[in-house]
Amino acid sequence: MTTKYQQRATIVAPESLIADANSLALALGESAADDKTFNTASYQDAQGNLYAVASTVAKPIFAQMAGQPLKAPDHSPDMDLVAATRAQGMLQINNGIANPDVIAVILGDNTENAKDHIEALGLTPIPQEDEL
Amino acid sequence: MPILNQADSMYVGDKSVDRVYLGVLEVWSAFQMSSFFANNKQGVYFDSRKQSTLFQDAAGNTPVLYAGDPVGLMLDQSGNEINANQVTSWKRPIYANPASLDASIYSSDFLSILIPTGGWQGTMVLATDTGTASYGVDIPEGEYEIAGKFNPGNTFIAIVLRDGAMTNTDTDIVETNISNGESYNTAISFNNYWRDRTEITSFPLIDTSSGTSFNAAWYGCSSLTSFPLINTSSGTSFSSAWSSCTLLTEFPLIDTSSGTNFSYTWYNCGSLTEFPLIDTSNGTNFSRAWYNCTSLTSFPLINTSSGTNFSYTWFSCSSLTSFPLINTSSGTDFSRAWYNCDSLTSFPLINTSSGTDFNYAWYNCDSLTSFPLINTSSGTDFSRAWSNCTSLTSFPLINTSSGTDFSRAWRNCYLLTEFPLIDTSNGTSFSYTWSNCYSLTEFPLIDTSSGTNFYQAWISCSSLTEFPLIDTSSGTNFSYTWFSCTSLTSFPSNVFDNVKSGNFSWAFNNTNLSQDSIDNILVSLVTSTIGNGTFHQSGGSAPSATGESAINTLRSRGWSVSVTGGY
Repeated sequence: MTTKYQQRATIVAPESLIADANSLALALGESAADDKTFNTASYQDAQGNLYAVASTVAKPIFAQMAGQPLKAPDHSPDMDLVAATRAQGMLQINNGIANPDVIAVILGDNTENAKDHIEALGLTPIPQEDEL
Repeated sequence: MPILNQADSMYVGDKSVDRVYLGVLEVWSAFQMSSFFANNKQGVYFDSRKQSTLFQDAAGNTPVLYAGDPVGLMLDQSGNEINANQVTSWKRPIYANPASLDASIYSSDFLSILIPTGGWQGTMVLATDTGTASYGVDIPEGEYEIAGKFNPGNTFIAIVLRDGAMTNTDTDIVETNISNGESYNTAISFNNYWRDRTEITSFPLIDTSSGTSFNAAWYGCSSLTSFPLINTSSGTSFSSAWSSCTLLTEFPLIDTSSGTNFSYTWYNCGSLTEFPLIDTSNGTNFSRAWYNCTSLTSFPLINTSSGTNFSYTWFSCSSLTSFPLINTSSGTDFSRAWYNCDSLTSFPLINTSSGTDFNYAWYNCDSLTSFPLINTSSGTDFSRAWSNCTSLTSFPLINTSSGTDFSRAWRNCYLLTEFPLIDTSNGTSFSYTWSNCYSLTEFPLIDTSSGTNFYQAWISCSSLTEFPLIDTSSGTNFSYTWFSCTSLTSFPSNVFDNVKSGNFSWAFNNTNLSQDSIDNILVSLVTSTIGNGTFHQSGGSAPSATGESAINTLRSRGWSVSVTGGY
C-alpha cells in the first residue's frame, strides 16, 4: 500500500485574485481553515507581478474536482461559491508560466517538489530588504 | 499497551532490550522522555518516528499511514498534551521516509503549538535528518512553529522543548534518543538552517567542518548575544550568514579563509562593538557586509585585496571614528560604502584606482574635516559622493577625468572655502553639485563642456562673488543654477553663447549681479539664438539700456524674461 496523495499540486494566485483563490482552496480543501491558504504575495514574475503560492500533496481526484461544478463542502457550507467558481474559471493547469490573468497550476507526481514547480511557473521569491 | 508502557525493563529471554516493536510500530522504549517533564514541567516532545502519533487531519481522524501523507496533527508525548497541528490543509508537512516530516519552505508548511502565558525559557533539543543539537531558547507565549519552514536540515525528526534549562547530561541523553545518528559533520550546505530562529538564545558548538555554504544560516537569530567558534574552514559563501543578529555583542575569530562571498554577512548586527581580524583574503563580494553595524567603534585591518564589490559595505557604521588602510585595489564598486559613517574624523589613503562607482560613497560623513588624495581615475559615477560632508574645509585635486555624473557630489559641504580645478571634462550631470556650499569664495574654471544638466548646481553658494567663464555649450537646464548666490556680483560675458536650451527659470534670483553682469548674461542669451526660453533674475542691479535691448530681442523670440527693476 502507498499513500493516496500521489500528486503534488502547486497553485499560484496573482495578488489581485488572492481572495477568490482562497475561496477555491476552501472548496477543494479538507478544512474550514483553507480560506487562509494564500496569504502574502511573496513571489514575482519577470515583469514584477506579484503572486501568492500554495503547494501540497493531493489525491488524484483533485484534478477531477477542479474541473467539476463546485459545491460547498460540509466543513464550510456558507462559503462564497461565486468567488470560488470565478477562480475555478481562471485555472490554467500545466499550461505555461504564471501570468496575472490566470491562476496557474502545476499538477505533478508527488515526488516533485514545490521549488521546482515554482521555478517552472517562472516565479522567484521577492527579495527581502537585505537580499536585494 | 498500558502494561508495556509502564514497564521499567523488557527482556528477550535473559537479554535486556531497550525497544520493542509491533511490526514497524515502536510500542515500548526503556527511555522515558516523560521523565523530563515530571513535576509539572512545561514543554513538549514530538517525534515523527512514532507514527501512531501522526494524523493527516488537524482533528486526528485519519492516521498517517504512508510516506507522502500530509501531517495535520502530531501528538505531544511529554504528557502535557500540547499537540501540534495545521488547520490549513495546504500547509501541512509531508510524512517522509525514513520517518520524518518534510516541510517545504516554498509553501510555508509547518505545524504549530500554543505556548502558554509567560512563555518558555529553557532548552530545545532538535533532531533533523542532518544533525541533532541543543539550544537555549526563550519562546514568548502564543503560536510557535514546529517542523516549520526553516529547519536545520532537510526534514524534521523530533523535538524536545522544555521550560526551564536542562543540564548538559540531560540534553546528551535526549540527543542520543531522538537523533538519527547524524551530527551535522557531513553537511555541506547550511543555507537557511537556523534562519529566523528568534527563540534561540545560545548556540551549540556543532561540527560544521564540511560546510561550504552558510548563506542565511543564522539570519534573523535576533536573541543570540554570542556565537561559538565553529569550524567554517571550508566555507566559501557566507552571504547573510549572521544578518540581523541584532544582539550579538562579539564575534569569534572563525576561519573564513576560503570565503569568497561576504555579502550581507553581518548586516544589521547593531550590537557588535568590535570585530575580529578574520581572514577574508579570498573575499570578492563584501557588499553590505557590515551594513548598519552601528556600534562598531573600530574596524580591523582585514585583507580585502581580492574584493571587487564594496557597495554599502560599512553603510551607517555610525560609531566608527577611524578606518584602517585596507587594500581595496581590486574594488570597482564603492557605492554607499561609507554612507553615514558620521563619526569618522579622517579617512585613509586607500587604493581606489579600479573604482568606477562612487555614488554616495562618503555621503553624510559629516565629521570628516579633510579627505585624502585617493585615486579616482576610473570613477564614472560620483553622484552624492561627498554630499553632506559638512565639516570638510578643503578638498584635494582628485582625478575625476572619467567622471560623468557629478550630481550632488559636494552638496551641503558648507565649510569648503575653495575648490580644486578637477577634471570634469566628461561630466554630463552637475545638478546640485555644489549646492549650499556656503563658504566657497571662488570657483575654478573647470571644464563643463559636456555638461547638460546644471539644475541648482551652485544654488546658495552665498560667498561666491564672481564666476568663471565656464563652457555651457552642451547645457540644456540652468534652472535655479545660481539661485541665492547672494554675493555674486560679477558674471562674465559670452557664457551662454552656445547653450542648447533656454531653461533659465529662477537661474539668477536672489543674486547681487552688477549691471555689467546682468547685461553680459542677457546679451549672451541673445547670441545663442535660442528661442522660447525663460529667464529670471532678482536682486542686484537692473540691466542697462544694453540689457533692455537684449530683453526686447529675447521677447521677440518668445522668451519670458523677468529682471531686477521690472523691465
